[in-house]
Amino acid sequence: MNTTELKELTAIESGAGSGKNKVTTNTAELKAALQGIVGAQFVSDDAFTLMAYSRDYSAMPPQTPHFVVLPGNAQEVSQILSLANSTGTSIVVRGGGTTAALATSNGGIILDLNRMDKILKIDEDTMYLTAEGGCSIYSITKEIDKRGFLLAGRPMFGPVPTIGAWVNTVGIGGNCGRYGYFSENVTGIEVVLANGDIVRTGVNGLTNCDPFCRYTHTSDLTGLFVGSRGSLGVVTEVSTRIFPKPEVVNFITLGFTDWDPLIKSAYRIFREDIPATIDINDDGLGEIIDMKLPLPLLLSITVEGSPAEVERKIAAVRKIGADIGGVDMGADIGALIYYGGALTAYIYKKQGFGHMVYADAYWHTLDAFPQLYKSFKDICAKHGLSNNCIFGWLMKGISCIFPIVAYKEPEQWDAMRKAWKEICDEWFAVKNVGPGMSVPSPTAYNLDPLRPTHRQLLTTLKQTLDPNNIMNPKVIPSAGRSL
Amino acid sequence: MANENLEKVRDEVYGCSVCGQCVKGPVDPFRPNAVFHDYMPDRACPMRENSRFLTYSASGLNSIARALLEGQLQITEELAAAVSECVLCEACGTNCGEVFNLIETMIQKELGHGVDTPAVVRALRADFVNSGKGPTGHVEKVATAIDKSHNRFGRSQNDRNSWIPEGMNIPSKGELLFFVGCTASMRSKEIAQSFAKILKKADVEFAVLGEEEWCCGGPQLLNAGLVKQFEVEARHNVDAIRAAGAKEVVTTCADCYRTLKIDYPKVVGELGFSVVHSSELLARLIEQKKIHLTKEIEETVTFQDPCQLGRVAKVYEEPRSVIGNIPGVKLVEMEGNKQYTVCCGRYPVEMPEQSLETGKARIQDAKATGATTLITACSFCKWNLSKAANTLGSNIKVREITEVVAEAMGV
Repeated sequence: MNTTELKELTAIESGAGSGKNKVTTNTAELKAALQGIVGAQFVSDDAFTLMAYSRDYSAMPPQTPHFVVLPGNAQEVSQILSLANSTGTSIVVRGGGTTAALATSNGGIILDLNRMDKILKIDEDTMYLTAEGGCSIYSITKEIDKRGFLLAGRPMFGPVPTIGAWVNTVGIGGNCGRYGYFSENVTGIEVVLANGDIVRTGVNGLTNCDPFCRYTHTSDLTGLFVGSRGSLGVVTEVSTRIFPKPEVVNFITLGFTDWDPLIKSAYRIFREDIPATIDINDDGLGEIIDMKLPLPLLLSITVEGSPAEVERKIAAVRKIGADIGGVDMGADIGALIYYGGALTAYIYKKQGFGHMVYADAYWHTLDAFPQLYKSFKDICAKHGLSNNCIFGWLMKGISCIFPIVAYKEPEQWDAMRKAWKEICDEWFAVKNVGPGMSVPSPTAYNLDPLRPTHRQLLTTLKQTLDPNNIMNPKVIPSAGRSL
Repeated sequence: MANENLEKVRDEVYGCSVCGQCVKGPVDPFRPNAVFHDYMPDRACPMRENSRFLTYSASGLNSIARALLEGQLQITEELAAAVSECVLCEACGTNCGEVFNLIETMIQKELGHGVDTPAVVRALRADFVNSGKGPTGHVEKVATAIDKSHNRFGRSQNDRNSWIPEGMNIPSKGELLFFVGCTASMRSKEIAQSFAKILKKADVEFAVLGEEEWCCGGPQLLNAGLVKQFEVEARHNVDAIRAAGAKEVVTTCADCYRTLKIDYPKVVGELGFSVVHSSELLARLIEQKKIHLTKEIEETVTFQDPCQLGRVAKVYEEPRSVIGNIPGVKLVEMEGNKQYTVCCGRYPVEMPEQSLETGKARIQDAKATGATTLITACSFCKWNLSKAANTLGSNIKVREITEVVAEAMGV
């Protein structure tokens, strides 16, 4: 590829007509420069390697970058970003690759952080840890489990996600009923900006402090990068609070025929401060594993604490169910969801239902649930997508909902594409429903519904931190890839 | 057709969700949990650990395979070389299927299986061979040696019996046949010698094929995509074993075991004889009280499950039973054992650098248990792990299970 072609490429990726790209080199020079930074063995433009990075855990069509680069530390990331910035080359950061529709790139560089996978510090007294951005959640979880601690949350896609990617996507997962989003417990990050600056946030932004606390006498700069999906910088290090493991974990599921008593039960369970996790599922979950459920709507509660606390909480949930109309369905379903989590959905595929996608993630107040659910089921039925279910995590009275659809490629791809868009469009219009982070769809890249001043501030921040829009350019301000 | 073999495993290719569970074990959301109580190793895929690119993983290979099927990629020598980095330890398959393992265990119902990426890899390599693009490098050299000499070292078949201890007579026909394997015949002779001494001491009659034993062909030919050459070796060996009148074949090498037991029937159909691993036979002979382990060995040991014996053939308990019967031995488990075993590196000649790095990491796992001896049950594991221990300057002893049993028997 010559310089002109590279200019065209970066112009497309950065927003056509922006005219802000400074392309001073061709791809051969760029490759040599990248090799000079990380070593030749950690830069690839092999056609087959680009193809290996062409997909992520989504139904999006494949797209290939120009290079895949594996930096080994923040200094290398800094040099890469400086180089990319000067040439207007886009950067998409990849961790575990489970964040759907985010981890691929059409041209430019994929920065795979998996070499940066070390746990740097575990402070059992102050109860926080620091790990490199490419460290997998499993590696961290395993190490602190041995010491009697846990992280705030369990990623829905199992242990593969990396801690840096979790900050970039806020981090929703099991135990969110008790601890909130993962990122709420992050005490500081190290982030590399588009110009190559390496910035530390929280008290770690002070020269005399380790990253033990998020807030200091200045603005919460950590929050600027939480949920930024790689659009503002590369998270190379994360510090997060750790929590003592509970003595006992147990489960109870209440079954319902209608949403109204289910929602009322959920409100009361939160008000009585019972859950570590609450999951909502419909009977599509049972159909996945060929399990006939006596009731179609399920509220599964995970409780933890001392044996006496757990017993009291289980009894309290039973009473709430009895008062409002939820049938006690025992512990097994809750355990299955807790330990199997969203992985149950993999079974769709092996049972011949086809490719499974989490069509989207939306935050919403619980009273919106019935409308969202009906819309989802109607759209699926309209397009003949009969293998579907809904899954949601509840958190302090609100929900993060995941509509799940399985479809067969290639014959149901068109139906899926249309249904996906319709779900996104319809849900976006419902009161008190907002796109989430964990599974962003193209709709979630759409900034049009934002209040003008919010959008302006976001765009200003982006332009300040990344004037050439090299950092995951499909997020801000571009509306992203088309379906 | 360029993708003739790949087309046969199309469902596996399209079964991959690119979720990445194959590269960051384990796949259970979190261990320990209500079903599984052990921590699992972080390392799952040797080639991924070595290169760090997603390309060199089951996930990456399935994306590549899909691109080939969809005409987005062409077969090249570079691609063939990249795919040859997979050691076919099959950890990816276990990790992928683990999703079902957990849930199936909880609901007591069979749901499906993980993506069979090893089948995809074998298909890719067979297509590369058909396209004239593979195998390459050391793999090609070893395959050529086998093709010409019928052993992986390219030596004369006259050397096949050079391992036999002086004065020991072993017939060429018998109901129990010891399939010695290239490595124990010509390189790691102590394995074959120990096993033969054990059988003699236990008054178990056995035969060997001598020059008529050809390389099993599994790890070097079949895994390299050289299907036709593999079939030549397979048919010869099966004919020779049948001609020797064997009803049961025993191997000390886990690769030979897997090849004879699992891969040969796919070529020749019903074998007409059974195949057991030496650890299975040893466990049986101990139970029958034909083997007496009298000498105390005061050692803390750990056991390396060979991938092909453990994860693939699911022989886990017999070697542990044998070790557990040795007086004085204390067995401690490594992180990643039985079906979750971590590969030793497998190919010390074909891919020396990657195998050495993989082996070194496994030696560190063994050291972490506090064991002073690492026992395995495979010629390749011993070869590779010994080399890794030496490279590291580690004082851990690497021994094959037959050597330890022979010592405990005083032979």
